[in-house]
Amino acid sequence: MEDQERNLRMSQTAGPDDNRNEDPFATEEIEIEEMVIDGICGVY
Amino acid sequence: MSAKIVRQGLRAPVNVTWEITSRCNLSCCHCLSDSGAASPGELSSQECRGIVDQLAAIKVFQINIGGGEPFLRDDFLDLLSYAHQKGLVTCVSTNGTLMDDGLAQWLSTLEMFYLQVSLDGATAEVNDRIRGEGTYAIILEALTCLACHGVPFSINAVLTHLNFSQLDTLRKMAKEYKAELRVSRFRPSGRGKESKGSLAPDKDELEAFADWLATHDLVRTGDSFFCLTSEARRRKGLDMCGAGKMTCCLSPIGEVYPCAFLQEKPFLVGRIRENTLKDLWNHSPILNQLRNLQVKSCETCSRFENCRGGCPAVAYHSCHDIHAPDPECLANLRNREGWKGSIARDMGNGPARIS
Amino acid sequence: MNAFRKKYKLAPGTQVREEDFGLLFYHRGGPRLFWVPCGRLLEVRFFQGEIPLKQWLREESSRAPVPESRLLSLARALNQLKDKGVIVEC
Repeated sequence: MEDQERNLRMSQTAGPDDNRNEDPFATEEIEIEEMVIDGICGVY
Repeated sequence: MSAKIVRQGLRAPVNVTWEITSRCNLSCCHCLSDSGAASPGELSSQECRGIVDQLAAIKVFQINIGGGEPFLRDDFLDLLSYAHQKGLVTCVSTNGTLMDDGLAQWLSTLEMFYLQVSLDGATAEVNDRIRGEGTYAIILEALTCLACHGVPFSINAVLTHLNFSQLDTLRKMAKEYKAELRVSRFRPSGRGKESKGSLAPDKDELEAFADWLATHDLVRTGDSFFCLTSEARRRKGLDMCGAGKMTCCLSPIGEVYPCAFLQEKPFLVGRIRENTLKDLWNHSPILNQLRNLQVKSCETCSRFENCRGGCPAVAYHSCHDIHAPDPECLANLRNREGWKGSIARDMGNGPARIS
Repeated sequence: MNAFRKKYKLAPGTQVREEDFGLLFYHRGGPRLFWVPCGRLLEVRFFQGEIPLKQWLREESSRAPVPESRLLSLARALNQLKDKGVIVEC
């Protein structure tokens, strides 16, 4: 079910060459991004 | 990385703004929600609990609750407790008028809880023009009460032309209460549409505020000024519009919108009484549009990577087009006829000076 | 201790959920978000603290072979999360 939803999300933004079945992060170094949430614009 | 990811869409919002009632005992002239009387058909207690269940199930981390005045709901404390039991962190925005020792004592026992109290001026003269006569004194009593009971809180001021020169004083006041200062952006939605002329900061003030923010790292903005922020303040948030990417908004009657400032018919995502939030989040064309918003005129700007076109809500309320550039972004502020060099304004003590 | 023998739990005040890219952590001190692009290598269940990393990778993760460099990268990432107070060893 979650794979279906993922494919839906990606189909909404995917280009013609995207392979939706590949894990897009499979070959990348696992680099953590830290985000201090002062807030998220759109929230009070 | 996060910028790319959020355009593809997260599985759920990171947090949700929830206007839990339209009822308010004040009539602030800039109220983004045009609050006053309760909306007909506001969500019942049971419906609210159902929404908390949904948010917990899809692992929303935090709910930012406002209104109206949330503490006017008879069931609000129960709903807060329920949200915490379900593992959700809550951040409540209040006008402070209902604060008393009993409530402050109870709030002091909560762990998964943030509180922000609205104060729009460092003096009664300024604050009361916006929030109503006598409110300044009441709010300060609330701040004292909260501080006495050890409730952590922030003071939230919407940046306006009226309080612009009081920011340093507000910062000092917050420090005295051991609170954080949060300065948020004025957006001409709700009653703000009519008060824009008298309240919206002008371009010189916004540019000076951008300089001031760069040297006051501890002042929060809720990321609402991402289009003005210098490189030094980046990484205090997503640095772009979060609507549909990391957040969305629930109205008192269960309507879902991309953000609190786009609660207009063209942006109605759906109704929680008819669809689950999960379905709406995953399948809404409106949210998908916000995730991939293209502001073509901004793409060649040197600051585009900093702001991605700015706030679509401000663009919409100013130009009726969410694809229009944010008229208050730093590049647009500087790109105006007759502007030469940089203008620095002394934030508290006198007229503008040119550097 | 060998990094792959370690077990981890969430630190107090931390939540985690699975995303398409991997894991998204929320720590309410801040609050802060941590985006961990580990793909399907780890799941929320790993942070119940019952299974060491090596066993998890062998038994629970995707059956497709994973380059050693990526496994080492994963171990480093977990160590970083521990240093930042997001997870704790158990």
